[in-house]
Parts: sequence; structure tokens; C-alpha cells
Amino acid sequence: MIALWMTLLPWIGALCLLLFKGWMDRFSRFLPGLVAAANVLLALLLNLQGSQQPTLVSLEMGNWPAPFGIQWVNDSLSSFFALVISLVLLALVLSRGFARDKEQQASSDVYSSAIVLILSGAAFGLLFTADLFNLFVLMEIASISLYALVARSRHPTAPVASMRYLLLGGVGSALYLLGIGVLYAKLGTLNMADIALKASSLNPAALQLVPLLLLLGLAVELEMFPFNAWVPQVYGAGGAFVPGFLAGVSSPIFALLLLRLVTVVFPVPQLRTVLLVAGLLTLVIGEFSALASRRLLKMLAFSSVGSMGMFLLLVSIPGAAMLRSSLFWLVMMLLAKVPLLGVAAYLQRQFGTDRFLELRGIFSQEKSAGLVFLLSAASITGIPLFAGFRAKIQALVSLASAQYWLLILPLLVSVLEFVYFFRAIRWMGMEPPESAGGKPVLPGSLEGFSRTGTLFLFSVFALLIVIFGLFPQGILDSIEVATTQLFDPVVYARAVLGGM
Amino acid sequence: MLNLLVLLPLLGVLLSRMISTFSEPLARWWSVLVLGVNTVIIASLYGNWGSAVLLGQVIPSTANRPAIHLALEINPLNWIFALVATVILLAVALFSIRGMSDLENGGKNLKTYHVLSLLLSTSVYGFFLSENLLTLFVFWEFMTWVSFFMVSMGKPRSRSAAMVFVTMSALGAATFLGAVAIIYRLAGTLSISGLSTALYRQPAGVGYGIMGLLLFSALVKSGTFPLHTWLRKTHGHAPNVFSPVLSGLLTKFGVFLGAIVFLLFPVMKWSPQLFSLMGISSFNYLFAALGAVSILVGTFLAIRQEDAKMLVAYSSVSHAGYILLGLAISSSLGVAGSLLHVMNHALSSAAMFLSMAAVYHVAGTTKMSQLGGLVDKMPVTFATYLIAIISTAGIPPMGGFVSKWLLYQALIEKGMIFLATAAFIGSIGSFLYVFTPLAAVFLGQRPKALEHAKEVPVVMQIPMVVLSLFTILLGVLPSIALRWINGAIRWIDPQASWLTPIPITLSKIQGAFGAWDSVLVFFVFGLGVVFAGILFYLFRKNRRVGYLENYTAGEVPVEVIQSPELYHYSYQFYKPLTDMYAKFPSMEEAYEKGIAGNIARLAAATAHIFYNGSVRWSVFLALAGTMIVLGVR
Amino acid sequence: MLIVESILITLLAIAYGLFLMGFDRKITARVQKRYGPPIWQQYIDTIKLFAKSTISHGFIFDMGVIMALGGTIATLLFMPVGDWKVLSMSGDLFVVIYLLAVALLGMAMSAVNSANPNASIGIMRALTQMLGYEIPWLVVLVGMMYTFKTSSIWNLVGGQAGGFSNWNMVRMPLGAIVAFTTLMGQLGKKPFDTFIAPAEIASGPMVEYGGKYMGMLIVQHAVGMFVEIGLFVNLFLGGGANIGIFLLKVLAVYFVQVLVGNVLSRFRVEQVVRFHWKWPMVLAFVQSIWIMVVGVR
Repeated sequence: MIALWMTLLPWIGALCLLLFKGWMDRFSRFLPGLVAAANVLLALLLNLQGSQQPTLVSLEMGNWPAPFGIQWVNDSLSSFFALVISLVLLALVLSRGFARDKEQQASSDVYSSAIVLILSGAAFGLLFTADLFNLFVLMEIASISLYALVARSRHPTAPVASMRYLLLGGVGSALYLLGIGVLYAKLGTLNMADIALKASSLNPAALQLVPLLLLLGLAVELEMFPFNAWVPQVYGAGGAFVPGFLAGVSSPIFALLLLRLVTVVFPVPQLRTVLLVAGLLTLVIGEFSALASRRLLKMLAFSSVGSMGMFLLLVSIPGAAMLRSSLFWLVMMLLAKVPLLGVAAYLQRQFGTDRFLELRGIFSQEKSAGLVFLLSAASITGIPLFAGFRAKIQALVSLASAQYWLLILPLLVSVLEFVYFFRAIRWMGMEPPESAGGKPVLPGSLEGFSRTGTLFLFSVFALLIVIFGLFPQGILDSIEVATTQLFDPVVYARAVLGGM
Repeated sequence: MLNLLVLLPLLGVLLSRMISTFSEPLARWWSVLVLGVNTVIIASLYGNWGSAVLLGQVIPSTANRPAIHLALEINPLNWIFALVATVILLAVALFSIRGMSDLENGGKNLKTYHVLSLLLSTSVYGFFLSENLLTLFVFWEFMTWVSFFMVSMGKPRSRSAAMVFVTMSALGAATFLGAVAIIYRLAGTLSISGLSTALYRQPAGVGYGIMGLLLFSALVKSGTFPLHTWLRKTHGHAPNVFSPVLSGLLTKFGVFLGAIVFLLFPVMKWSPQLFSLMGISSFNYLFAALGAVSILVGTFLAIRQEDAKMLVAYSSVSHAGYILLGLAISSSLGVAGSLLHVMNHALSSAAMFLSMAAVYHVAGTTKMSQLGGLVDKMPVTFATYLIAIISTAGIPPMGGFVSKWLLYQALIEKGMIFLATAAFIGSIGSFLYVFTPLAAVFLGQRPKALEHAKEVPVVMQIPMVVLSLFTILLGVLPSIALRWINGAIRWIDPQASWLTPIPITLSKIQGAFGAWDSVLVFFVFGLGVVFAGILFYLFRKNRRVGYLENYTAGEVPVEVIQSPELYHYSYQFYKPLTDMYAKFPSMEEAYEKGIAGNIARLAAATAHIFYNGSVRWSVFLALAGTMIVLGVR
Repeated sequence: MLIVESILITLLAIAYGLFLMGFDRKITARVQKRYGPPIWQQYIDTIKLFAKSTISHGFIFDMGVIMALGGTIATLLFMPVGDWKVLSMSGDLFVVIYLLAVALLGMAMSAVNSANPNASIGIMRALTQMLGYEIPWLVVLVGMMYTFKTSSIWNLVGGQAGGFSNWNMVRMPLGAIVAFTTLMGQLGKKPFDTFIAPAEIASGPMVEYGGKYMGMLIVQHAVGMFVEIGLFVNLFLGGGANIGIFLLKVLAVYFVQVLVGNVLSRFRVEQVVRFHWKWPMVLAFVQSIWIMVVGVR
């Protein structure tokens, strides 16, 4: 039940906000935060339960037995990620709260808050759903909320960004819908566990076509090339919430869905070939574009694309070791990307720009932001003993154990990554500021409590990076349990469908 | 004891920050104390070979492979490196007590500098004492990261220098990491002393592939041709007290890796499968040749420099070439010569950079054409520099001659005439370039501005004097160091199947074709000087005159008296020679404009094509991608 | 004993070197159809220089001169002179070659410390020129050392025992030509006297020296000449069965040097480098590779 409530709670919150708009204005400030905090508690509970009883829990809504009813499945993978993601969401929602404009109309904020709540609910739903159609519905809810949120951003390029995102998302949805259409026509079921058991009865053509369509459907959210043209602009439009959500919540969740698709539902080889090629392309093109960008947010957006490319690459190779390293990679990158984007958004807010050259020597003035950026960058470039290094070395060892040549491109682009992150640090951290007194802070920027609060939130992440870098065992253990379960699709199916 | 070496500086970092909050100078002494204790520990560890310590896990164990830990181990080979490292670190720390004028005047945050320098020391100790390749990598990257900040604290252009440094280091790190991943897959272990057995059964092709990857990063870090291009900028612009560490020590990271590759891989098993050249495998010959080219490039570029620090930086390129040459030849003499040269070059280049830092401390520049005549004002600095350059140029009775002698013997033993020629050009050439700063900075006319220059404080003199004494000691009694090196050789190859210890007595060294007596040479040199001195002092006393009372064909040019620096021949010292190769294309430029520039252009094009187009174009790309995926399936 | 022997050999080298200089002046004069000074004129000049009062430019100015002479004398003790061994059993070719460099360094230091640009330019030329002539010379020596499997001068002399046909001059004719050419460079004979060049840079390094400094340098040059020609004699002309023969060979070599030098005009310094790196270098490589592959009979 807990898993279900993690979705329902935000949605109820959103409903309240919209229904009782008049007198809920006051609460709109706190409600998302409260809900996010509650979700963290729920996720904790979920994990405590899970750790006592590492079996699968299946919920049947409306007493419809699987595979017909709507199902929320909680295995150790989703409960672990529920915790991670609820924490990220809490941080993002809080930082969004801190970043609220004073002048902004309370009523307009109610809408945004409601969208954020809907988005959070959908995120958890995507994490727990056991059904490809529900997945589609939740994906649509999430994407439409995101289009809306992006469009509501006040950045000049926001409308174009939103439009681009919407059109590409539309392509993705259409392909996905096509996929489940074919699937339903052939198998008569959309329950993942059910499909896993029945997939062998599909004719070869459908067995080839359907997984590809589903993959392409998810590609937009996975930031996979060539479906990721929206990424730089949407991240670049900024705001305290959207970039962090995309890098820290949405792409990891879709990555998990991809994992389920690849390992449980359709373990077909040509899916892996596509993933391999797409992963390499995404990695290389993402990192190259990051090298070319002169804006911090864009650079981070491309870097996020690159890390998703690496994830796709890892997923494309069969084997438990690979699964483990891909999950580890996902978590460790997420831990670094959220504070990086947070700092970037914060700097943009304070100084009205995110161009390196205009932010010369800014860290001498924004010391704690600088430290957070430094630690996170160290992690993401794989400097030893930060969290990212652990993920990087695991990933490389796994790649080497698959094919030697797979090492070449990731290693080469890691050089680029080094260069562009150090370049950012150089401009913002090491160069002396243009004027002796530093850069003037924009009117209407964060100060006092909201400034401290924002920086504190991301400092927590930076601290986590250091802690998990030194003591990664906890995460490794959770991932170990999750992969073991993921690697036993029969157990999954049995848990979902009952004793078959 | 072993873990203290890493933990002490690491804990020292925290204390250093605390101490510097109420007294910044005290934090400098604190660094000296920490490094002093570490030096004592390293000295006391001599002979405790094989003692090891675990610091933590990096790669968890899997079904078929054991876990990889951060681990330290001491053996005769890495002890030598660690000893050199700790001596240099300590000397520089002592020098830094007063010698950080460029940082102080630049308004840099010295507290941060102390923290960084202790962090750097941690990485140095950890690196040289690594038990396995992953530990090596961890400290290697750690060092890159810390040095980036230390280099950027230097002169205004140091930031772009630091970027070049980081880029090259990242390249090296990438190949290193690739090799580590491959070795882990093949052997399941990364232990350095176990590499030979672990990789013994691999085919030669794979083995040389791994060696190539590792050597690539070794070349980057040691600043060897063709990956030497970062050295000039980085050494030239880094803070003055960081340059000695960078050149004396951090380039030895690459050398250490090179030593591991050439000495601890089962090369002798693989080499028969490879086409052999002059008695060594063509793979080794290739790297020996790179070493030789490195000697030439370093030498000719050093001759051309106008900034003393950049000159010494290029001399490091040339000496890295000598070291690589000896390692790649992999004969007993070559290996012993290389390892001894590591010690000699570390001492002499650190001493040269320290004396240049002292000059900077006094004169505020290291541009040679703006200096002159400092010998009367700074005799200790001058003596330090003189002793260091005698060693650098490989002239008896200083340490540098001994190691070069061993290398020449190794080269001639194998009859490698072309490589030997490069080595000779490097040695005669080094004569040319080390003399430029001597002439331009310390001798000749003194600019009016330096009339009141004073010798640096005693605290700064002590490390310079100590390093010089070590250099002399290694020249007079190289047998001390050679005994350690023989220990390392015995440890590398206990069966003496391809490496045998160099026959030495206290004073005599036996090469392939000849022997000489280091004490006797020193003694005879002394005898010669005594003869000459007697002849000199026997005759009439002379009258001391100033520099301005010179032979000027009987005329007294006014400009000489008013601005004596005009009468100081120091700018473009070797112009007739350097003009001969002035038009030679610069590799630094080729890398920066050619490779880096093209990559940047490619990156810009990529971003432009895929992400800057219209919305329609994006959708088209997505649909095209779909078509390709669905069509190809 | 060692000290006495060293003093004796030093005195011999000085005396013979000064004699060679006087001999040079006489021969040069005869070539130019002059009568020339008496052959002992150089002794008189040197003694006169030591007796004169002079100026000094400071400690390094003094020390460099001492270092120059000291280094040269040290080198001398490691070189076999005829059958007179002194210390030549415990030195080797590299020790001799690089000990000579100490002398050069001393002189260079001292000269530059005179703070006269002519001296600095002279030193620059001397060092640049050294980069030219030393390389082919060393290349020949590599071939020789590899072939005879020894780097001890004494053993290299021993390897030529057994008559004229065993001399390295005959075995390595190209090498001997190269060595002879580079010897001219080492001695600063025309056309390789760029660093003295009295008409251009007022005798270069010598410009500030007078009195006993000049005297010391002349003595140093005398010993240096003795060592350098002696090395050639030892390595290519089979050394000497006794001191007399050795000294005669030295004289003969120097006689040819003076004759050749007198009919050539001075190179510019970069031409010296270019010249040495062209023909002598090619010949040296041909000779060395040839003898390393074919070996000696």
C-alpha cells in the first residue's frame, strides 16, 4: 500500500490545491514540501519493510487480479530507488520553494505547485507500475506537466524549448503507443510479467518490432540520441526545479524502466545492439557538445546526456555485473548532477547569467556554491575516492570484461569531460574576478534564509558524494539485492501474477 | 608505520587549516614537521621489504575475482623513489617558509596553498608506495586534481597552463585506466609485484598492448616526447615553490610507471615473439628511440628559452628522455643508470628550480635578460645552481656524471650508435643551456635595480645547500645509491636471468667495457685544483676592479656606465645556433592549434548540427533515427 | 709517489705544450714567409705574464681560472703518456672527455664574470662550436669502444700493438680523418677559431685577462693541447712505446694541424656546427657502423 500512497499523496495534494484554490494559496508554499517529506518517510518505511522481507509485494487495485488490474509492484529495485528519488525530489521541491519570487502572484504559483505535485506522483507511479499501459499514461502525465512547467519558466527561450520538447515527446509517445498497440493485439495483455512469460509465443517479426518501438518511445525521456534535441534548451531555460528533476528524477526512472524492459520483459539481442549504437552515439555527441558549450547549464545538460549514453552502453551488454555497474552508475551520477545543476541554477538566479566568461572568479564570492560545484565536478569526472570514481571504475571494468574496444570511446570522452569541467572551474574558480569587489548581485535574487537554505540542500548532496565515495558499501549492497531480483524474472512474474 | 606515511599528511591537512587560522607562518613549519617525520619513517623502513598495509576497498570482490584494495607496500624499487620524493618535498617545504614571495605578493590564499601542498604530499607518498595499479591510479589522479589548483595559483597565465596540464594528464589517465581495466579482466589482480606472474600466460600481443597503454600515460606524466608539450607552460608559470616539486618529483610519477612497465611485466617472456632490434625487442627500441628524440627536443628547445624556469622545464624533458632510454634498453647497466639518474635529476632539477625561486624572491623575475651579476650578492644560490648544473650536464665529480656514464656504457654495450649519438648531443647540449642562466643571471653586468639585492634568508639557503651536498655525495660516493639500486635489481629479478647487479666497491664502478673510481676522480680533480691554486697564489697579488672598468677599446661609452645591463650579453644567447632551427615547426603549437583546435571545432560543429537547428530539424532527426532503427533491424 | 709523479707529468705537459705553441708560431711565420720569433719565445712570454700585476673581476673570475687549469691537469693524470701510466689504469675515456668539460666550464664562468660582452660572445661561440665538433668525435669513439669492447684508454692503446698496420689510423681511416678534424676544433685551430677571433671580438674570452690570469690560461691551453693531441695519438696512432716516441707523434700531429690551419680561413660559428654535422658526421657514422659490423682483422 505504501507504494501506492507515494503516488496518491502528491496527487491528492495537487487536487486540493486546485479545488480549493482560493484559500489554499497560503498552503501552496508548504504543501509540495510537506508532501515530499512525507514521501521520504514512506520510502523509508518501504525500505525497512523490504529489508526485512526481500520478496516482491504486489498490489491489486480494485481487486482485479493480475494481469488485468492496475498493479503497483514493489521489488527491492524500486523501493531502493524510491528512497533515492524521494530524497532528490525533497531537495528540488525545497529549493524551488526557496527560489520563489516574492513578486510572483500567489495564484500563479498554485498552478506551478500543483504541476510539481502531479509530476512527483507520476514519477513514483512510473517507478512502481507493472503495466505497460499505465506506464504510458503516467509518462504522458509526467511529460505534459513538464512541458507546462518549462513553458511557465520566464527564460526567453522557454516557449521554444517547451515546444521542441513537446514535439519530440509527441513522436516518442506515438511510437510507444504503436508498440503497445501491436503488443496488445498480439498477446492480449500489457502486464510486464505476463508479457515476459508469453513473449515466446509472439511471432518473430513482432518480437523484433515491439521492443524497438517501446525503446524508441522511452528514448525521448532517456535523452537518447537522436531524440534528445530538446535537452540543452530545456535545461538551459533553468529554474530551480526542472533541470534537477530531469537529471535527478526523470531520466533515472526511465532508465530503470528501460532496465526492466531489457532484462525482464524482452531480453532480445537486437534491442541490445540498438542500445549499444545509440549509447555510443549519445555518449560521444553529448560530451562533444558539452565541450562546445559556453553556458554552464547547457554544458551540464550535455554532460547529463553523456552520462545517460554511458548508461545505455552499459545496459546494452548482458550479464549481472553489467547490470550492477549500470545501476551504480545511475545513482552516483544522479548524486553529482543534482547539486551541479542546482548550483548552476542558483548562479543564474543570482547573477542573471550562466556564461562562464561572465561568471569569472565567481566562486571567490560564492564560496560554498564553489565548494559544492568542485566536489560534484570531481565526482562526475571520476576523481578517485569520490562517488563518481567508484562508478566509473566499475563501469570500465565491466566494459573491459565484455569487449576491449568498448573501452576506447568512454575513455576518450572522459578526457573531454575532464577538460570542460576543469575549464568551468578555471573560469569560475581560479581566474580573478573582473572587478575587485566581485560581481553585483541582481535585485530579486536569493538572500538570507532562502540563499542559505538552497546552498545547504546542495551541500548535503556534496557531502553524500564524499561519504558514498569513501563508504559505498551500503549502496552496493542495495544494488546487489536489486540486481539479484531483477535477474530472476520468473520470481518477478510469480510475485506479480500469483502462483502460476 | 606504512599507513602513517599517507595518514599523517592527510591529518596534517586538517591541523594545518586550524593552525593557519591563527598563525599562517606556523602552518608552514607544520608542513615541514609532518614531512620531516615522514622522511624519518621512510628512512627507517629501509629493509622492511614486503611489509604492506590495506587502506580500504575499491573494487568489491565478485564470484571469480578478489577485491581490489587501496593498499601500500614497500619494496626495494619503490623505496628509492619514495626516498627521493620525501627529500625533495621536505627541502621544498623548508624553502617555502620564506620562499613564497610570488604567492604572497600576488595576494593568493596561502592557507589554501598549505592545505593543497600537504594533500599533494599525501598523494606522492601513496603513489610511490602503492601495492597495486589501482592504488597507483587513485593517487595519480589525486595528484593531478591537487596540482591543477596549485599550478593555477601561479602567475596570471598559469590558469591556461593548468588547463594544458589537466588535459594532458586526463589523456594519460584515460589510457592508464583502460590498461587497469584490461589487466583486471585478464589477471584478476592488480598487484604490482605480482604482475609478472599474473600476466605470464598472456600472449605477447596483449602484453605489449597493455604496456603501450601504460607507457602512454608514463610519457605524459614524465614529459617525454611526443607528449612533453605541457611542461614548458606548466613549469614556467607555476608558483616558484611548486616548480621544483613538479619537475623533481611529479614527473617521476611517469618514470615510476615506466619502471613498473619495463621491469615488472614479464617482458622477457614476450620479447622473443617480437622482431628484435640491436639486441632488444622492437617495442623497447621504439621507446628507447622516443627517449632519444626526447633528449634532442628537450635540449634544443632548452637552448632557445629566455625564461630560466622554462629552460629548466625543457631540461626535464631531455632528462626524462635519458631515463626512458635506460629503462627501455632494460639491461643491467641501463636500468641502474636510469634509476640513479632519477635520483640525480630529482636533486639537480629541484636545486635549479629552488635557486631560480630564490632569484625570483630577490629580483622578482626569472627572465634572464632582465637579470645579471647576482653572484656577488647571492653566493649560496649561485653555488647551488653551479653544482646542480654540473650534475645536470653530466660532468664529474657530480652525481649526474655517474648515471650518464652508466647509460653510455649500456648504449655502447648494445652498440646502439644512433641512440648514443642522441645521448651525446643531449649531454653536450645540456652544457650549452645550463650555462645560459649561469651567465645571464649570476654573472656579467648587474642592472642598477639589483644593486641592493641581498642573499635569501638562511631558511631558504639550508635546503639548497643540503640538496647540493647530496648531489656531490652521489658524485663522490655513488656506491651508496648503487647499493640500493642493486637491491632493487635483485628484487626485480631474483634469478638474475636478465638483470644482474652492477659490480661495485665503495669507490669503484664497473661498467660493461670499463671501470672507474669515483673517489679517485674526485681526489685527482682536487689535486689538480690544488696545483692550479698554488700556481695562482704563488704570484703577484691582483687588484679588484668593478664590472664597469672593462676593456672597451680605450673608449668609455656613457651608456655602459649609466645602464650597465646594456653591456650584458644575455638576450638570445645562442642566436647563431638557434637561428639554424628557428623555423622548425613547434609541437606545442601543433597540439594547441592543430589537435585541440580541431577538436574544439568538431565539438562546436556537433553541437551546432544536432542541437542548434530549428524545431523542425530536431523532429526530423528523431524521425530519421526511428526509421533507421526500425529499418535496419 | 702519486703526487710526485703528477707534478712531474704536469710539468712535462706544460713544458711540451708551451714548446708546441712556440713551434706553432715559428711554423706559421715560415708559412707566411716571415722569420718568426725564437721557438722559446712562448716560455719567455708566459713567465713575463706571471710576473706582471693585473686586475681581477671578483671571486668567480679567479676561481674559474683555477678550476680550468685544475680540471685540465686532472684530465692529464688519467691519460697514458707513452708508457707512463700515472692513473690511466683507473680512468676511462668518458672520464677523460668529461673532465675536460670541467675545465671549459671553469674558463667559461671566469670569462663571463669579467662582464665584457666580447667574452660572453666568445664563450657562446666556444660552447656552440663544441656542440658541433664533439658529436662526430664521440660517434667515432662509440664505434671504437664497441669494436674493442673496452672504454679504457690503456686497453684501446694496447689493442693497436703490433706495428703500424694495427694502428687505428689504418684500421679506421675515415674515423681518423674525423678525429683529426674535430681535434682542430678542440684546439681552436683555423678554420675553427671563431671563439678567439681577435679581429671580431677582441680575442673573445681572453679580452679581460692580463698578467698571471693570462699566464694561467696559456698554461691551461698548453696542458689542454697536450691532452687533446695525446688522446688522438693514443687512440689512432698506437700511443707510444716510450715517452719520446709519444712526444714525437704529438709533435707530428700538431705540425700537420698547424699547416692545415694556416691555409684555411675562419668559419662563422654556425658554419662550424653545420660543417661538423655534415661531412665529419656522415664519415663518422660510416666508419663506426662499418667497423662495428665488420670488426677488426
